[in-house]
Amino acid sequence: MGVDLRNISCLFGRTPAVRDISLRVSNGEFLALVGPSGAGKTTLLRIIAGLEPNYTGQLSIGARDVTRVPARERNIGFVFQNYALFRHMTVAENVAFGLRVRPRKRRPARAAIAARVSELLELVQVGPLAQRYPTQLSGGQRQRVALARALATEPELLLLDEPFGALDPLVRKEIRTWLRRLHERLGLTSILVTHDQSEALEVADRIAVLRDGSLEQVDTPDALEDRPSSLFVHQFLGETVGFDASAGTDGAILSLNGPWNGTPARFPEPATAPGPGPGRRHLSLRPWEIGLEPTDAQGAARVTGMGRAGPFLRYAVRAPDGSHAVEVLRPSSLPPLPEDGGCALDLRLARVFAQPGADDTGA
Amino acid sequence: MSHSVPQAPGLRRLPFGVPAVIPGRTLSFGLTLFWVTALVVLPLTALATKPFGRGFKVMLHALGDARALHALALSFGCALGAASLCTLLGLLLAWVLERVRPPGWRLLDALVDIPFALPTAVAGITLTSLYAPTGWIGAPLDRLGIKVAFTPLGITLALVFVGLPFVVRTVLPVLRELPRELEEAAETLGARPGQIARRVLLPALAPALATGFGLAFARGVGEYGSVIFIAGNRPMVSEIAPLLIVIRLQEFNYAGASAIGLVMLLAAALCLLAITALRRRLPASLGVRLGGAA
Repeated sequence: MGVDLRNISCLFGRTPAVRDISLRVSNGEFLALVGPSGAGKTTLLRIIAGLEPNYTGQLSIGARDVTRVPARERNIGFVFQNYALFRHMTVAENVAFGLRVRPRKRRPARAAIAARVSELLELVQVGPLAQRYPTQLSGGQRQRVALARALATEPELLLLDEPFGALDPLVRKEIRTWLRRLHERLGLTSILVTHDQSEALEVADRIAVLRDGSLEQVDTPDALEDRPSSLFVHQFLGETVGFDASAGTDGAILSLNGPWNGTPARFPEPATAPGPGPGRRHLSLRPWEIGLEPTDAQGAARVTGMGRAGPFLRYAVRAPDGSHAVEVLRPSSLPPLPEDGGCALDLRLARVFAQPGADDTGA
Repeated sequence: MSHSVPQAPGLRRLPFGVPAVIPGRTLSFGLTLFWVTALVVLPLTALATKPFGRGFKVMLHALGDARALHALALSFGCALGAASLCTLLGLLLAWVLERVRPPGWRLLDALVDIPFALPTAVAGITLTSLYAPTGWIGAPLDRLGIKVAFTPLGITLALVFVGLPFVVRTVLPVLRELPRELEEAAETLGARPGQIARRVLLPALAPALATGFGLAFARGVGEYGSVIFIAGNRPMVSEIAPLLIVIRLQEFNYAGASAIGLVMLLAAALCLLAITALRRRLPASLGVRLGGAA
């Protein structure tokens, strides 16, 4: 089922936790909510689940307006960060819970519940653990049981709050690929909250980046990477290297500012600039997007150190006056640069942003 | 279970006699053994052997006394009733203190402990003056034909007063530590508030409730000070066993006194053992125990 959020806001006391978010999740989509801690992503997820009743705006799941519908009638599955399994129930009882609490008229027969439970436990690959208690399970197993429990009631929408947070990296990687496959197999609509952007980039169809309770950008992982709407989005999604620059009247970048002033460099086409007109800009790139070309020109940047980083060589590149250095990754298949040699910067892949406060300074 | 159990991370207890990293195991065990012996085991042994000093028959005779039997039955009956009431009221009170948090809940929280601190005689006298047929509460109740003071009802009331903090103080921390997510998880799974209380919260609180019940019961059986005033101490009606022990002592009937004492000791020990056994079989304890530390 699709989800439609319209102008959702939520206050914690006087502090806004979520500010006027409108967002549409289509049926069958896997959406990730990302952002630094305190950005309001978990609050937004809890609003969708119905666990945070004090919000304004409108919320529909499928065709149904659920703005004032309590959590238990929203027919969603929620997986909590710490799993929230019932300790006094076995794995099977945990999974059966959602079916057993149904009113008698809608409650499946005992045998049907048992069948559904073992089917689900098979699905999440913990079949042999049905009679264990949650404390007897490993983190990854608890995670799977929590998921099976959330799926038992055949929810239209699966909500996951940092579901991999407590798992070690290897298990985490395995379980998220598995979750993605499960999502496709069951035709679910899923919303995942995570602070780990690599996780979001891997499993989600689209990613919503939140910042201070507001929606910064929603897009596919590729679009977010290629066309981030703000420097914040670009920085949040990965390591960045930044340069301050000046643009001419046609919007084309003319030169670098600050310690890098005068360094020979190649700049992106004007089309990628945020707007026409002269002014200060900020160029942002991933460390492996910066090209280095050896040069003897005056005022060139200098390579001052190198090391190996996986399939890359890591270069420390220093501004001509030596005051400032950046790290650049270069495929180790390229011929290595001489240490302490001069180099020109190829910044054509940079995302160009208006510099904050640039208009005020009038520079 | 035949298959091996993966252990949850946590403290594992070493078998007895295995040297641990933390020093002082021998010393701490020795000290514990010493004071448990000096303060608990020795007096209890003395109590257990004393009635037999004058022969088994004397003791049986002392117990065959209808007055002694009635006093014992009254003490245990009232303690049982009071502990049950305490469990209900204590759960409610803990719930209000932790989840409802009305204005002034801190004051309420402090008030809960008053019965711990108040000299029990003071509590007894206060309750008596309130519930006596001429008292503030006793008078209107008397007009309705309900007598509280000087009846088993009054005894139970006094025992509820002294027993309540035991239940509140055992249940409250457990309730506080229960993750809110448990209730939220149950809610997203479609459970109604009543079902959440019955299927999620109560089972999780059950071990603490059982412990609180046991403590309130144990306290009630032995309670003396707060009861003797409101009880009125009429033999065969409202005379409790601890009081009868004092009466026997004043009659220099040591065998009779210690016989009643011994029976109380054994019965109380049995009750507490039963509660512990029950508690260990509760699913909430089971889930924790099987997994080691949780």
